[in-house]
Amino acid sequence: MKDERESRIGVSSRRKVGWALGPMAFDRLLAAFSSDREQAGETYEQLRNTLVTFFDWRGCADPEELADETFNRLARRLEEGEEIRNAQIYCLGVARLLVLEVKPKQNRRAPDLDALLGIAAPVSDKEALVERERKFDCLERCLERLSAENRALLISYYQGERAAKIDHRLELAKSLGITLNSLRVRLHRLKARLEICVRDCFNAKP
Amino acid sequence: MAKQSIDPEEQRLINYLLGMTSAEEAEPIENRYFSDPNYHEQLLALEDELIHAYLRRELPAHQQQAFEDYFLASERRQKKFLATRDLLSYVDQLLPTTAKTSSVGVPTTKKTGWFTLPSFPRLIGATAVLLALAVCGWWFWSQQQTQIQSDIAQTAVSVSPSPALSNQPIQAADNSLPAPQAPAALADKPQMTVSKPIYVVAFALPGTRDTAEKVTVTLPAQAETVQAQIALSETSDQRYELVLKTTDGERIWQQQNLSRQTTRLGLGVITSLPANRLQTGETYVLDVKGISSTGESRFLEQAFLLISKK
Repeated sequence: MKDERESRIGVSSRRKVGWALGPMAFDRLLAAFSSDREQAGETYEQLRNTLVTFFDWRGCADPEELADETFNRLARRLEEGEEIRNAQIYCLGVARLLVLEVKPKQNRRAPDLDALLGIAAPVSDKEALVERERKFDCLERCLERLSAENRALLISYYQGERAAKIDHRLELAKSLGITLNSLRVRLHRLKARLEICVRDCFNAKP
Repeated sequence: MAKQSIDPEEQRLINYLLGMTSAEEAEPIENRYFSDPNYHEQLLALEDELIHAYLRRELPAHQQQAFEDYFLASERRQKKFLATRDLLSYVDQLLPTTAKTSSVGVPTTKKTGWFTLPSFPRLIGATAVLLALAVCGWWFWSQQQTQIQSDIAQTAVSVSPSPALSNQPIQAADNSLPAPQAPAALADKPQMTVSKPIYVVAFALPGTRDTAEKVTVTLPAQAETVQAQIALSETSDQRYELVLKTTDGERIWQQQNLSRQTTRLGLGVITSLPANRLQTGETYVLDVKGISSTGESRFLEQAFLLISKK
């Protein structure tokens, strides 16, 4: 785990600023999050995810690299002996500065809507059809791996349109004894699990 | 994400996700999700909702634009979008538009949610979900039967001249899908299975003009009606009309006012076909018309369907 993190950060730092995050610097970085190493590792992962989505939501082109660059800058400050009271808040400050630095220079590509909506792949293209079928097979297989409760919940949640959908979800949340927000989060987690399963299944050799 | 469900706080978050907030407006949101992982997760869940709303065409025009230009520019969100598109397509094939109502519900348990109860009540809750889905499946099947009867009756009285044939060749497309497509959850509950299975076929109309192949549509021999997911080559219209005829021009079936949906093979329409009125080995002509927002109808394409029953 540690090696993975070190290599992830190290590669980025060497490439971007010519400053490598060595083991000592990495230890200092973790210690800034918590004195408990395990806890610090968890905080690091959580914060990295938050940074990635932050850059993404701010419209930056390469959120993962920018998240790593944020940690590099924090690590350098720590190496220089700066005292940082709240590493999370410090990272947010660095991240905001990075947005200002990179956004004017970046050239983010416009999304290919046709491809995303499934219009671009010609329906006569056998390969595309086979691929789509494989994806659906994976989806079916992954849904079968969910518990019956979760499968029914997922299918039920995505039914309905507009007002009917809202009423249905409110009813669903009420029956589960949770708020609509909690229901959304539950479905988000379920969907995230499903997406990983489908991706793994699809990437495995047929 | 229909309008009536949105409170001002949620609207603020939606605007943030769509890149429609200033740095000043974004600051308190960002401060909060950096210090509260639950809030961060709520935003991620809201992303899912936005994608769902977009795919269901429920976003107001300005949000739709921002969704396409800004939200989808992110690779991470594109992946989420594609996964949701596939999932919705799958759910839609379980219960088509006519059945997508709040009738699929989970029975209300007492004060506590069933996920927080001990295992036995949870089991009851889960069974109740399955029961609800089964009832919905039966309801959908009976609706289909009613629709087919109505179509047949309509055919008898509303035969209009067929559009001019332009000798448009049709290329074969894959239509081999597993059937029946009742929710997998129902499979374990034989006492609750739908009395007649729902069969699903999917095929694509390429609309190309350089070949003369037929689209082979494989139907289960015992099916009276099937849900047909038909991917269209042109999908710029919101509504569609389909007319199925024999090669002699005799009208077999027609369906009007079909909305554009995501099928298993791309954008198109989902409808029920009277499988029992189609003969194996026979070729039928399917005309597709697009209907504009002003109600104007225009001919889009024609496909030759070769029916194969197995």
